[in-house]
Order: sequence, then C-alpha cells, then structure tokens
Amino acid sequence: MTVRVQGIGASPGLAVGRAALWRERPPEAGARPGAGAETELARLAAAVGASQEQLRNLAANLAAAAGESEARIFRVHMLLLDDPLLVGAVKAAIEREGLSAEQAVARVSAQLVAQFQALQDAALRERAADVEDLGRRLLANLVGEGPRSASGIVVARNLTPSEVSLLAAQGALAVVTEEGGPTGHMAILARALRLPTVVGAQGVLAEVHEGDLVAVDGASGEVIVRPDDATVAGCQRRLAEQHALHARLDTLKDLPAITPDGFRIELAANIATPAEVDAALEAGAEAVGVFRTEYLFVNRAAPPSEDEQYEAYREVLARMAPRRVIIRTIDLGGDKPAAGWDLPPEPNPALGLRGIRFALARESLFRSQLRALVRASGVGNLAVMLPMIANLDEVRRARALLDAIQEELGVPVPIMLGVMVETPAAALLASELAAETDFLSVGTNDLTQYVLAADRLNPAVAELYDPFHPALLRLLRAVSEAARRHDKWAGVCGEMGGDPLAVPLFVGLGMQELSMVPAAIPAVKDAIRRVRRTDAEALVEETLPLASASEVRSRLARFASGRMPSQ
Amino acid sequence: MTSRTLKVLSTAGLHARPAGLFIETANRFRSAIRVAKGDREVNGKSVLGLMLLEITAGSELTITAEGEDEEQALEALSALITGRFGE
Repeated sequence: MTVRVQGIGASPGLAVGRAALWRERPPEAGARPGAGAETELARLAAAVGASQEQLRNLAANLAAAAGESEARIFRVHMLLLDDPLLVGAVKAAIEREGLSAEQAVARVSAQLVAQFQALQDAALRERAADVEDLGRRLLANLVGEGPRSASGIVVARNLTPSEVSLLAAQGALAVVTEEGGPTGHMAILARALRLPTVVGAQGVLAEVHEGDLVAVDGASGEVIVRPDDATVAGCQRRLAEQHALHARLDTLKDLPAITPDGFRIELAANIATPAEVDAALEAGAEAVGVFRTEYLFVNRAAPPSEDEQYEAYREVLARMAPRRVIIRTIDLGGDKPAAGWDLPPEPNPALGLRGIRFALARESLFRSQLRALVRASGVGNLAVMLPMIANLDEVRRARALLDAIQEELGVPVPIMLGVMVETPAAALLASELAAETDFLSVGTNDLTQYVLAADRLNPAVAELYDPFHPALLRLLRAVSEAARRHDKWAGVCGEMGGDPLAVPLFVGLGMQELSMVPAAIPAVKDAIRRVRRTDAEALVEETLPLASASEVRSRLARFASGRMPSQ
Repeated sequence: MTSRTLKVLSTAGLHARPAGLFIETANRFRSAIRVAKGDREVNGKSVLGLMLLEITAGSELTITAEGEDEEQALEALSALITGRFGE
C-alpha cells in the first residue's frame, strides 16, 4: 500500500528508486580481552593514523566540491583526534585496565558523548555528534571494517556528514532521514553535493522495507513509499521534463539575458552560504544579488568573530570575482533571533527591532560585520546592502559607520552601498534614497507583507498575500523610475524576481537586475530573451491600472501564452 | 606551580576557534596546564576539555601551570584571554 511521509526538503531534486535501509550498526567493540598494552597501543596508533588519512582526504574532496567552509568540520575532527581527552584517555584505559583498543575507544567515546549531550549550550551540545562520528571511525578502523556503502534511496534515522559525502560519492540517488533539520551540517553538505535529501521524515523507517520503491522530492520534502504505477509514471515524467528543460536551458547558459530589442538585464543569484557559489556560477549567474549573512549568526551560542566573518565574505568575493557580490548586512531580530543576545520577545516581530534597526542598536556587532566587509573588499567586487530601511537617517548612520571604518582600516576605495527596498516608506522615498546610495533592490517578500498588511504564513490571510497586487506593481514602478532619475540602477531580489511570469513586467518597468535562487536563473533568462521591451512597456501600461492581483495574473498569463511555446 | 584567575571578555566565550587557539598556545609550553571553572577542572591542552567547561563571556577561569616554563605559559595564556583572542 502506498504511504506518504512528509518531511522537510533539505536538498532539492527528484528521485525514484529502491530503498536501502541504513541500519544503525556501530562497529562492535567485541569481548576479546586486550592482547597486552604494547600490542593494543600499536593497534590504536595504526587506527589513529588511518583515521587522520581518511579525514584529510575527506576534507580535501569536500573543499574541492563545496568550498573550504564546508570542509572545516573534518578539519575539526582531525584536531579532536589528537585530543588528550580522547586518545589520551583511550591509552590510559588500555594501560591501566588491560582493555582491548576497541573496548577502550567504545567506552571513552560513549562517556564523552554523554558529557557533551548534558551541556546547556546548544552549539557545544552539537559537538556530541562529532565525537560520536569520530569514535565510530576509530572503531571501524580498529576492526578493519571498510566504509559502508549503499545505493538507491538511502533511508536512515540520521546520517553523519562523513556518511553523506561517502553516499554522494557512491552515487546514491537520494537520502531520507527521520531526524535532522535543513540547517544541519548533513543538509548543508547534501545541498553542496547536489544529493536530493529529505530530513525530518518522522516515521519513515517504520513504513519502508529494504528494496521498496520510493519516490523522493527533495524540494517539497515529500516521500512516497511504494507509489502506485501512476505516481511512478508521474514522477518519471517530471524527471524527464526536468532533464529536457535543463538540457534546453543549458543551451542558454552562456548567452546574455537580453531582450530581442536589446534591453539587457543582469541576472544574479541569492545565496545564503559560501557553498552556494558553485550552484550560482553553474546556473549562469552574472553576480550575487544578495548574500544573506544570517547563517553566520543563527543557531549558535555566540556571534561570529570578525575573522570568521571575514573568511566567509572573502571566500564568496574571491570565487565570484570579478563579478559583483552584494552582501546584505545582518537581517536579524524578530523571527531570526541572534546568537548571544537575549532579545525580549516582541508582540509584533515583523514591526519590531529587525534589519538595520537591530544593527544600529547593536553597534559593536554591526561594526564587526562592516570591518570584516571592508577588509574583504579588496578581494573582489563588493557592494553592501542595508535591509529594512524606512528612514533616510538609517542610511546616513550606516554610511557614516562604513566611512569611519574605511578610514580606520585605511581602505579609501569607495564601496558601493545600496538599499533593500522592503518597507512602503523606502519605496515612497525611493528618489531620496537613490540620491544618496548606489542602487535600490526591491525585496518583494517583505514589501508585499507590509503593503498588503498580510502575513503569508498566517493561513487565514495568506490568500491576500500576492506580490502581483497592483499596489505592489505601482511601487515597483516608483522605485525603478526614481533610480533612473538619479542614474542609479534598480533591481528585484525577492522571490518574485525569479518568477518567469513577472519577467515581462520587470522588462517593461526597466529593472536592470533580477536576483533569485540559482535554479530559477535559466527559466528567467529564457523569458527575458522572448519578450520585446516595447511590448513589455505596453503591457505595464495595461496592467498597472488593473484592480486586483488575480486580474494582473490572468493578463500576464495571456501575454505569456501568446509568446512562449509550451514546453 | 603558578596560577591566575581571569575573567573571559571574549564575546564568543570559548567555542571551537578560541579553544583551538588556547590549546595551540598551551602546547607551545612544556608545563602541564590546568583550567578550572567553578568546581570543574580540565586539561588545558584539550579542546574537548575546554569545550566541556562551557566557558562563556564573563566566566571566571583559573589557569594553573606547572613545569619549567610555567611563568611564561601563564603569561601567554592570560594575554590570549585578556586580549579577547584577537577578536
């Protein structure tokens, strides 16, 4: 019987294949007594050496596939392997109690794992998984067990980062885990390695048997166990369509996003970690339109040091160079609590201390980010973007801080500074903002929420939330015109920026840049290359006076169907 | 044997990177190094040990060094902590 399990999409991609159950099978320590301290210590030394070698290779492979920052976890493992509390304690147990090396490793790592699990600090508690992973690696090397392998759709309770990179290398089709979240190391790695992955699929192990047919959608998080023939056919059709579409869009990869009558739009990528640079370049991104820096600050006990930030910014700038990288300053507060700061709960976080307000209120944190940005600026083509601006004064204060830091660090080269237009006030003050900054980029997600006063996560009003609402479109026009008046550029970086349906509007409005998830770039480019600017301008004149989002959408759909052959 | 009690000012406390710096410094000396917070004491040359102490901003640490270069070791480690690990 078909069963559907809903998990959390952690790494996009479709897959249909046979299930391979990844059983928890920690290597056995065995009951064999120690063969004398000298022998056991020599076996331990060999296992430590083999582990170091494996970790070094793993880190090197991962650095090549996903960037240095993703490989760091294995470099930490290498460091821990030398730690007196681990290997030192194992040696002591062998010498004093006559244990076999396996027994000593099993006991010491279990004790350490328990100690880490008991900590208060969430970020430190996560180290338990690293210690466990390391203990298993040592044990496996002691008992001479080669790395485990599995192919097809791997279903597990949880997987370590090492296991995921191994599975990706062995050609697994997809991974489904019961535990884990989309921001864990394992999920980050799966995305970097482009292995379709669903995490948090609770109950999936109880439903799946070895060899069952399973369909996985790594974007939606849906897992279908023993799908019927029609579902399988549907999945395979979608897979084939995706391949065909990708193949067609691939032919556009190196072509510019230019309309048949010569209007060129820069297509940029929204990224959230340095690891996504590869996907951006592969999709044909000409720039990074938003590098969200929040990942550096959330899910940890203390904020990152200036050096850690510098490394992340430098990595993205260097790998994108000479292409422009717009780095958005911290957009924390409200729904994205910051590490190390006790933020009082706010009754209305969307209207609270967030974005630039938070940054200006925590000036030392903001300064450390700006210092890291200024230090990294020489490596590539940096632009800085300020979120949640509602007042000109906020831009001026940020500019003054940036100027002072450039002076302090002796970096005189001007750094481009722009505004993320996501409050109605910023859209209405676009002309004043454009006069004092270098660019305006519309964040349509928040702007829609604030203009329509509707939270799309609230099911009762989600229907009211629609960026195609004429009120939004009129503000988009105001922003674009204001930028042009001041010889600055305007772009769109919200989700709407990656929607092919909206492309004729953006062309007609004269938006010069669109930034989106890398995967959306080919389809948007395709749409741009099919629409004439003169037609798009006429469409805008027709669309803006309409009374509702649904009228706008149907007008756009009609326009598109007249222009784009069905795929 | 010599020891000193210090307050951690680093905003990051002693997570992986500062803990790594600490043991890197400690390992440059021959002296045995112990770090205590409250009633818990760990080997000052162990990253795992330092992480298990859950040192946060404001924690009071007592660092003890014992050996031929204990004075220099204590000086270097104190400088690291009062210098906020170069933050």
